[in-house]
Order: sequence, then structure tokens, then C-alpha cells
Amino acid sequence: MARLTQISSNALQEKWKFKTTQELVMLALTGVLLVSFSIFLPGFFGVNNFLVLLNSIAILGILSLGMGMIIMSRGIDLSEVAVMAGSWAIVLIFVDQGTSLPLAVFASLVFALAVGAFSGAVIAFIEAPALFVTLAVSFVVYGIVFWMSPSLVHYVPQDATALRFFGSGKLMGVPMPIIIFMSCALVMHLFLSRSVPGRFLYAQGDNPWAARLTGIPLRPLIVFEYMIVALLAWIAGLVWVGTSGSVQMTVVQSPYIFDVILVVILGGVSLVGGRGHTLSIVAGCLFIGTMLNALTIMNVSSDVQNIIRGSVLLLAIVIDNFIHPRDEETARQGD
Amino acid sequence: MHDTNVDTTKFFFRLSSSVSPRLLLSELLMKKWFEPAVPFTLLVALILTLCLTVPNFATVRNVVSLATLYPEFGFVVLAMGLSMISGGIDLSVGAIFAFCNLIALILLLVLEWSIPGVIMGTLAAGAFVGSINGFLVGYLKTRPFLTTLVTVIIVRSVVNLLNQEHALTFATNYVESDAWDFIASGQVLGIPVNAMTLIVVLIIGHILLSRSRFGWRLTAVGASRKAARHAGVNVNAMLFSTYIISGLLCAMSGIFFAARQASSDSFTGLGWEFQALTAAVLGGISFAGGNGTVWRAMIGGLVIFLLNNGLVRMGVPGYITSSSVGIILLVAVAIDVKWSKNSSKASELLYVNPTRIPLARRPSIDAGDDNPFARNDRLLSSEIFGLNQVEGPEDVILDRQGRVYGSTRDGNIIRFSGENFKRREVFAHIGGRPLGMQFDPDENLIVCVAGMGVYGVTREGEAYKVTDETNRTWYKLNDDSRLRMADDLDIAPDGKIYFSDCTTRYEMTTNALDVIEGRPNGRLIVYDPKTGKTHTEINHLHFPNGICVSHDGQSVLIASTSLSRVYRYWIEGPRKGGLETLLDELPGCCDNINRASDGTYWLALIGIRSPAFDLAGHMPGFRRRMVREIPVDEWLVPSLNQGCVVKFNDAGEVLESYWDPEGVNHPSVTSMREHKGYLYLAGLENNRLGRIKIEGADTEWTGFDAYWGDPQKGSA
Amino acid sequence: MTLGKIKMSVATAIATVLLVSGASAQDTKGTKASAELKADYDGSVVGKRIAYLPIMYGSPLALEWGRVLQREAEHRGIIYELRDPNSNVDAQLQALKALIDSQPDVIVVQNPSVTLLMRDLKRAEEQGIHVIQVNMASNYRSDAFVGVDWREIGRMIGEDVVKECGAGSGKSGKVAVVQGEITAAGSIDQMAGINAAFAEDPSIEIVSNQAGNWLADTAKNLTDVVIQQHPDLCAHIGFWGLMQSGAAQAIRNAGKIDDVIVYASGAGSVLDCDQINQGNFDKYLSYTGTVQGHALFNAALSLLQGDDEPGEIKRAYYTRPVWLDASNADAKNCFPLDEN
Repeated sequence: MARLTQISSNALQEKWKFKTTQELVMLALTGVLLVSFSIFLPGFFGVNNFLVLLNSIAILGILSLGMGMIIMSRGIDLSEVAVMAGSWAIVLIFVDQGTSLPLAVFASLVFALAVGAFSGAVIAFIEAPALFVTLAVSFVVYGIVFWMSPSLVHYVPQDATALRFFGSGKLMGVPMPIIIFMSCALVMHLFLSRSVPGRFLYAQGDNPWAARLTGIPLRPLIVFEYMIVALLAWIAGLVWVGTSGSVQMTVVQSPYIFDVILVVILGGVSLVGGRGHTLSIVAGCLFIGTMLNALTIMNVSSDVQNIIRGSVLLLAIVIDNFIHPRDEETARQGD
Repeated sequence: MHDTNVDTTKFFFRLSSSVSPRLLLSELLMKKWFEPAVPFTLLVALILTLCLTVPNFATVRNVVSLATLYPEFGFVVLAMGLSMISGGIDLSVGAIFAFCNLIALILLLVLEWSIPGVIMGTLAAGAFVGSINGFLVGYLKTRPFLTTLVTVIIVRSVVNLLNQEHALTFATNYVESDAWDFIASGQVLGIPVNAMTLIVVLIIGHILLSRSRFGWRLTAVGASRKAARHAGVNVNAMLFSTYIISGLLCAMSGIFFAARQASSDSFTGLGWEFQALTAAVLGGISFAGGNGTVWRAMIGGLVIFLLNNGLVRMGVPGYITSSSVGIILLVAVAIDVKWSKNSSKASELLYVNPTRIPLARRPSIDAGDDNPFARNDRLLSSEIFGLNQVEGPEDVILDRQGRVYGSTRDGNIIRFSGENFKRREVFAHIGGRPLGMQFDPDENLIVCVAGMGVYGVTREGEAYKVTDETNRTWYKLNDDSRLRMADDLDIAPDGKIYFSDCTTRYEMTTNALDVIEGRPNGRLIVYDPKTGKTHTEINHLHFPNGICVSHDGQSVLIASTSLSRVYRYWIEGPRKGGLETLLDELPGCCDNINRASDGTYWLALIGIRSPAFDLAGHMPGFRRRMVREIPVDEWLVPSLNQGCVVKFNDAGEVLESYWDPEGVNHPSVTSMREHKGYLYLAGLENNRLGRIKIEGADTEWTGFDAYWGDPQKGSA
Repeated sequence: MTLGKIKMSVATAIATVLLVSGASAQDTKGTKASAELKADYDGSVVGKRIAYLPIMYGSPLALEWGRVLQREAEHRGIIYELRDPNSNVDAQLQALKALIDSQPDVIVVQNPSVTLLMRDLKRAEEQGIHVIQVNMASNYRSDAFVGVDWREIGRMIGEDVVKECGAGSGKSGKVAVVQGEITAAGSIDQMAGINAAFAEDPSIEIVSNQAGNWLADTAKNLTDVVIQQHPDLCAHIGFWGLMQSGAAQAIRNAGKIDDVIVYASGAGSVLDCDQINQGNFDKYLSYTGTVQGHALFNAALSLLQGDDEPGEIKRAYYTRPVWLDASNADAKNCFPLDEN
């Protein structure tokens, strides 16, 4: 019995040691920010503001879950924002042309999954670099949507209350975006830590060649992963149209995708793959959300906000490097 | 012998054995500069398309206009490419460009510095931002992708804030300066000054990257940090300086943009980091680092630039431009991936290109025939020495003191002396694979070393380089300036060293493939110690092996292994420069040739021909399939399980032969030397040396004296 | 000649032609005076080339200018060319340089910033091409500028806010602003106009002034925080309808859409009018894209018909901003997008 306790406490220690990775640093930093802002910044502390804060990171968070997952598998998906905006622009275009909403939504889901499957297939079977394939795909999606309707913005019809519910509705006082984000995070956590494909994904991220040699069907797995990312992008789009009531394709050209990557990497998902957890992504989101919220309350101009945000990020990167330095000898590209 | 008909036949034979599309392709695929073939083809196709579709595209005016517009992006792509070669990435290139553009304008219009001051100040600003990246990446060891992504955010915001502050000054101030106007729109030799600068920077960058210590170290760091560190490269400093250079390049770009457009806004350089990244990868600069040239960066940069430029000028709607760029990027990357993955495989598959081997009639070797080649067992009586003390001695030689020299596979020259050659010592360690040997008049042992060149060993056993390269053949794709496999040598009375480089396409370990290929890949090279120059005398020999200067010093005898033939090449006299066949119709593949005491020559036959082997010589397709489809030890080669030495004279008559018919003592003999009535034997794959007594030979004759005279007797 | 006068004279000419042709149906030539007028007109415009270079052909305003330009130009036998850089300023700069090399008669260009195209516009006029800048003038003054006066837009909105939220209104006087881009000249001028108006009434307080970078989602996120921090917000000003729709959505999500007066300005397309009619925008200042399109074309006509060398004259054609609200945001005042 004592031995068992010994083991379990060892396991706990192991687990604890495991946790002293970036996500803990991130959570601690976020905690420090939260506490200090709550004390020093009037208007920051309060349930409502915290809900606003969480609400504001929901879309970023959902996108980051997908990006984090794909980066763990040693890929990257720059088409996420394009798929998010593109698939929902298609819904709105279809509805505008008279298609029924459920049919349009279904069509866009198929579209999103098809784009994901296409990227995945090109990456898996042609073995082209993911960075380029997804960058190219985002250009193409952008073009397709404009070809369907050359409008800069597509609005949600006034009567589509069901659609708006996912962005603006509340369930037991909690805004839907938060609920969707948390559900996605939970599912992603279970997927990564409990499911077979999830474990395969880590193996792939660690060493794809070894993973393949052990018999993991690497190529179908890659296609599957990119389809999940597309699905998450689609869900993020659902929240997007629900909250903002419109889709603006120009967001594809904005540096929004950089923010997603930053959140993911900030949360300790290494670009070398194989490392990272759902919790760490959520931690990264919280950190960014807290900062943005506080800076907006302080009415700091966006450029100064960016400088502060950038400096804090740099600091976080440097601190992270001191806490757990990379093995320089085996450090790889794109890291 | 020298009638036109024969010459024509010879010419066509040479042509057919040297030229083959498959050969060309396989050699092209090996070339480093051929690697960006796909992006280059894309670029050419793009230019052609634009010339045909965009009005006024193929005009001087338009070319000049494009040449004015491109360089800024070109510098940025170069910066990106450089950081990628170092194994990192610099996503802040666009932001640094915008920042430097702004700094140049501030220095010029707000602070009103002089033009040189503006240039230096802007370069310093670029270097400064680069040094921040470099410090973080190089010394604090942060991740380049993430670090530079964050630098982008900060630098861009700083640019926006400064823009806000100085927008009014930019709008109202104007500087009248010829120098500044020259930077903006001047021309050098009809080329816009910014394009000229880019060209100069490219050339410097190319030399720096491919010819300098800095470039090699940079590539080494990019290819493998670990290896670079172990090789003593200061990795941190290399990375640090790379990002500084990247910053400097962006600063140059910023100066030109500031001079030409006098504009700074939040769009300046926006999205350039991804465009530059796309360009660099499209051009073939690997993400993995350690691989790339400045030209590849430029190819990729031009493709992206022209694509954007062309599509907007065609009046194509923006969304189609977007889709087209996406699709072209997808296709290009897919082709490039497939190409880089398969081209090395293809070149491996295509590399061995057998051709028809024109072997002469094969004489009978049956024992008892009235034929100098008739098999006997005269080598069976040899005294073996140095057993297991040498390893693969290709050649054997004796010095004036009667000591025997052999070699080992790991690059040692072994000396045997004393009674029954019992005393073994390592005379010298050269490295490589020592093959043919000869003494020069100063008693230095000159050695052909496969993979290295021609080396010398002094009497004290100190090795030195004689030569390791020759002139390059201008019309050959294959760089043949290096000595691949120096095989045998001899020294003419005037001190010139004639040696064979048996193959320019294969290595020591794969040289059997050259024999199977049967192409004239080998050459006769001469090194002149007086001038220190090395020069290729004949560059189309079929596996030239043994070299021997004739007794009269007028010609060089060359043994061709794959043709089983001995040539005479005149180096003096009326027929100087002429090449003729001296010995043909030999029963096996020739190896080394050395002088005999009676004015004739010894020739070693490494392998004995068989009817099947001769037939294969006429069937290149068979040999190609053989090499490709069956394992090495199943290949059809001449019989190696016999040893044979033949003697011939200057008239091309074979006089007698010495055989070890079962290969008991000396299988596949590759060399032999006569010394004081004995014939010493060596073999490339043997573990021994040996000697036999030659009946009726001059027991006082030594090779050294025959060449350089006996100092005791006076000059010969 | 003002815009009105041009319009009037064109209308009169058309009416005259109609009247004359109606009077004598058999006469195919009509009156001599009108025939000469038309012949002179045709002589100076037919076969001329107008090149149109917006920032992005896809934004409602650029689409409407292009639509009007194309329809009018082609009706008059003028060659119309479109170059769409799709928000890529490098491509726009390159397209402009290539256009200058191809020597059209008029270039209509929308500046992405006050400086970027400045030098090339000057060069274009030096090479004999008329340049009309639309929406935002660069630091180089070319033959013509067509667009709104951004300070005027800011001032009109500001004055209305003062009226609605200022002293005596009984409201908090709190105003939030979402600018486009802080460095964009249009935003700076508009803000200056707003500030000038607010300076009149000290009870007005700008509680938040942020840049939304023309993105609805950014505006929404900013406004989420602002409305949470200042539930008693009186007015919310956004610099562009498409962006402001996000802010309006945030206000709606917070349940404050009926309390906060949402101001927006923009092209005057049905997209924005829908927002008005859905109750998202309370007051909307339209730049009247269609009118601007006609102004552009008329500016081009007067340049083509005039004897002035490019660069000799500097004209401006300011269009009158029009207030729209739920009462008049109809097909008459809002241009549709699908007529291209």
C-alpha cells in the first residue's frame, strides 16, 4: 500500500514536473496580470468584464485549438482564417440567393471539410510543405468567395436568429461563444489525451518517420487532422457570424492568423511538433485576452498596445527559453 | 594506319562513346546549379506568357521600369533567403524595410542630415533591428520564427507611431539634392541604380556564400548546428551576424524606396515577409537550412514579382489574381517537392550508361598452344613475403637499397627490408588509397593516391602534395578539374610526371562501374615540376591504368583496362603528340606496365577475358540492366581468379607470359617490378607481395638506375 | 463650372436634342447648333482612354465609381480600363507605373495613403496624363480631386453628437470612437473635424478612441469592452459602415442598441442601408458613391474638353454628404451592388 502511495506520489510528482512547463508559466503570468489589473485598474475586476474578456478570446481560442493541434502534429495551417471567413461567407451568399439556411450551413460545412481534406491530401500525399499549401489554399478560397459574390462584406439576415444565437445568445447567463470555446477545448483535450488518433498525433509530431514505421497510417491521419482544423475554423466562423453579424473577407488579408500562431506558441506548443496541451493553448489565449482587455480599458492606442504586447511576448519567449532551454544540438528548423 | 577513313571511324567512335542524352541528363541532374530547374523554367514560362499577353511588356521601357521596381523586393527576398540558409527565418524583413524607409525619410526631411549621413544612419538602423533579432536568436537562443514574428508587431507599431508624428513634415518638406535624386532614379550603364546595386550585392553575396569562409560556416550552421559546433564554428556569432546582414539588406531596400517614393505609410512592406518567404521557397531555398544560393532567391523573387505585376496589368479582377497566385504556388511547390525528391533518384538510376566496347579479338590462352599467352604455372614458384602485412598493394617498387615498398588500404606506405624482407615499417602515412608508385631522381617516392591526387614521400618518409587538380575541360558538364582516381604514374627524363586518372565519373569504390560503362572517362595528365603546372594531355581514354615511359624516353605507354589495349603516346620526337595502338588482342584487362631489364616491358593483366564477357561488351543494354537489377557480386566481370604477367617489346609483340592459373599465390596481379633478376609482384586485392626469379635476367639491373643512372657508375 | 452647372447644361443639351428630334421626325440631322456641339464634344472625348485604379475593386465605393465610370464612358465612346490591385499597394504602385507608360488620357486613382503614389501622379501629369484623385487626395495636387471633405464629415457627425448628447440633452455625454486606421489621412481629418465640433461643448467626453483597422470584428471586440465599462454610453461613432456594423453588433449584444446612438458613415450602399433599416445604425452620413461616380466622370469630361495641359489646373469636386436614417434609407438613396 505504501508502495502504491509512493508510486502514485511519484506519478504526481512526474505530473507536477510535467506541468512546470510553459502552460504553468503562462497561467502564472496570466494570474499575475489578472491580480494586478484587478487591483490597479478600475473597471477590470468584475464578472461582466471577465465574461467580456472570455467572449473576446472565444474565436481566437477556437482557431488556436485547431492551429495548436496541427502544430503539435508538426504541420501548420495558414488557411484557417480563410476557411472560417470563406465557408460562412458562402452560407450568407447562398441565403442571400434564396437557399434555405440549414441547406446553406450544411453546404458550407461540406465546403470547409473539403478544403481541409484537400490541404491534407496535398500535404500528405505530395508531401509539399504545409506552410505553402495552406497559404496557397487561403488565396484560392479568398478568390472563390469573391468569384461567387464580389462583395466585401456579407451580413447575416435579420431573421436568422438561430445563427445569431451561437454568437450572441446566453446559456445560464454564460455567453454562447464561451460555452462553444470551452466545449471545443474539452473535446480537443479528450481527443488528444484519450483517443487513439490523438496519441498517434503526438507520435507523428515527435517523429513522423518513426510513427510511420510503427504502422501508424500517417497519410490518412494527416488528412484527418487538416479536416479537424477546418471543422474548428468552421465552428469559429459560426461564432464569428453570430457575434459580429457579418463576414468580411478582408480579414483573410489581415494579420489575424499571426495572432493565432502567437497564442499557440505562447502556450508552449513547440513548432517542432509533438509538444503541447490543450490547457496550454487556453492559457495562451487567456494571457492575450487579459492583456488586450486591460489595454482597451486603459484606452491605449492600438499601436502602443502592440508594442506593449510585443515586448511582453518577447519577454515571455526569453523567460521560457531560460526555464527550459531547447536542446540546441537537436534543435530543428522552423522552430 | 593514319588514313582518313580510320580517323573518321575513330571520330564517330569517340562521339558515340562520349555523347548520350541519358548521360547528359544524368550529369545535369548531378549539378548543383540544375537544382532550381523547375522554378527557373517557371520564370521563363512566366516571362514568355507576359510578353505575349501584356501589351508593351517586351519593351525596353517596361524592362527598365520593372528593373526600377523590383530591387526593393529583391533585397528583402535575399535577406529572407540568407536567414533561411542559416537555418532560421526572418519574418521581420518587411517590417525592417518599412522601418528603414521611415528612418531614411526622418533623417533626410526632419533631421535634415547630409545624404551620406542618411545612408549610413539608415543602414545602422537596419543593422540595429537586425542585431536585436540576432541577439535574441543567436545568444538567447530563442526560436527565430516566433521571435521575428513578434519583432514584426513591435517594429510595425513603432513605424505607425512615428508616421503619425512626422506625416506632416513628410508632406511639406522637400530636399533638393542631386545625390538623393540619383539614388531615386539615376542610372549606371543604362541600368537603374537600385538594380545595379542589387546586382553588385548579389555577386558579392554569391562569392561570400559559395567561396568564403563566412559562407561555408553559414551553410554549415544551417545544415547542422551540431556538426558546425563540433567543427569549431561559433554558431552564436554566425547567427547574430546573419540577422544583422538581413537587417542591412532590408535597410538598402528602404533607402531606395525612400528615395524613389518619398512615402511612408502603414502599407509599406506589408505582407512582404510572406511574399519573400514564398519567393525563397519557390526558388528552391530549403526550409531545412544549409541549402540555397542568392540566385535561387532571385528566381523565386522574380516569379512572385512578375506574377503580381503581370496579373494586375492584365486588368484581371483582384480575386482571380489571388486565386491564380494560390494555384500557381500550389502547383509550383508540388512540382518542386516531387522534383527534389526524385531527381537524385533519377540521376542515380541514369548515372551508369554503358556503351558498346570495341574489344579486339581474344587470343587463345590454352596451355600447350604455341602462343605466348599459353597458360603455365611459372608464378606458382614465387617466394611470398609480407603476408598479411600489406593490404591491397596495387603497386610494388624497390629503392636503390633494395628495400621493397607496398601499401595498405588505409593510406600507409609500407617498407620491407632486411633478410627475406622480414623487417616491416610504416614508411609514410598519406591517407587515401595509394596506387601506382615511382621514384624521382631525388629518390622521392611519388605515389598516385586515389581520391586525393599525386603525392610525394621524401626519403625521410615525409609526405607532400605534388598535384591534386588539372585544367577543367570547358565542354564537359562534369567538373573534371579534381583528380578523382590517379592510378599509375611514370617520370620522363625531363622530370615531367605522366600519370593516369582512370575515371572522372566514378570513385575508388565504384571504379568497376567505369569498366562496365566502357566510356572514355579517363585521361592522361602531366605534371611539370619545373612550372608546377598540371595539364591534361588526353582526356578521352578508356580507363587508362598503367603508365610507363619507354626505354628511349620518347613515348609513354598507356594501358587501357576496359579496352584491353596498350597505347603509345609520343612525348618527344617527330611524332610528338600522336597516339597509337601498340598492343591489342590481349587475353585480359591490362593494369600496370613497367620496364624489363632487357629493353622490353612487363604488363600485368588484372582480369582474364571470357567469351561471355566479350559478348557483354557488345551489349550495353544488357550491362545497364545488370548493374541496375542484380547485386554487385553477381555482375559479369573478367575472371579475377588467375594471375598473369606478360612481356612485350617496343614493336608491340608479346614475348611470353607468366601465369598463376588458379590464383593460388597471386590472383589478379596489378603490378610487377623487375629488380636484380627478380620480378616482384603485387595485387590490388592481395594480402601479400611476392617475387620470382627470372631466368637469364640481368642480376645487376635496377629500375632506379635504369631511369636515373647509377651515381656510382656515373650517369646512364 | 460647378457640378450642378455641368449637370444642368448636359440635361439642357439632351432635352434640346429630344425636343428637336420630336418636332420634325423626318429630319435625321436635327438642328445645326446641336449637331456642332455634339461634334465638338465627340471630337474631344470619343476614343479617349480613362484608366481606373482603385485600391480594391470589391469595396462598395470602388465598385460604384467603377460602375458609373464604365457605363458613362462606354456610352460616350470612351475606352474604360480597370486595374484591380486587390488591396496590394505594391501591385497598385506597379500598375500605376505601367499605366503611365501606356499613356491613357485620364487616370482615376484612389490613394492608399497621402504619400505613396504622390511622385508617380506628378510624373503622370508631366507626361501629359490627366490625374483625378478620388476619395483621398495625396500630398500632390493633381488636375482634379473628387470626394468628400473628411473634416466636414467629422464636423457634421460631431455637431450632431453634440446636439444629441451635449449639454442640455440630459445624457451622459460619453462618446466612443472607432477610427479606421490611426495613420490614414482620412481618419486623421475626420477625427480633427470631430474634435473641432466637440471643442464647442465641454460636456462631451470621448471615453474610448481606438482604431478598428477597417475590420468589423476588431470594432466589435473594442466595443464589447467599452460598452461593458461605460453602460451609459451616449453615442458611438465608427468611421466606416462595414466596420461599424461590428460595433453595432456589440452594442446590440449588450442590449444597449436602443440606448446608444450609433453613428456611421460610408459609401451609401444597400449594405449600409440594411444596417440602418435593421436598427443597427441610428444615423448614417453617406458619401453618395453614385454621385461621386458621376462627379468623377464629369471631372474627366471637363479635363478632356479643356485646353489645359495636365498639371496646369487644380480642381476639387467635393460631394455633399447626405444624412440617412431609418426614414430615408431606401432604394432612392442607397445604391445596389449587384448591377455590375
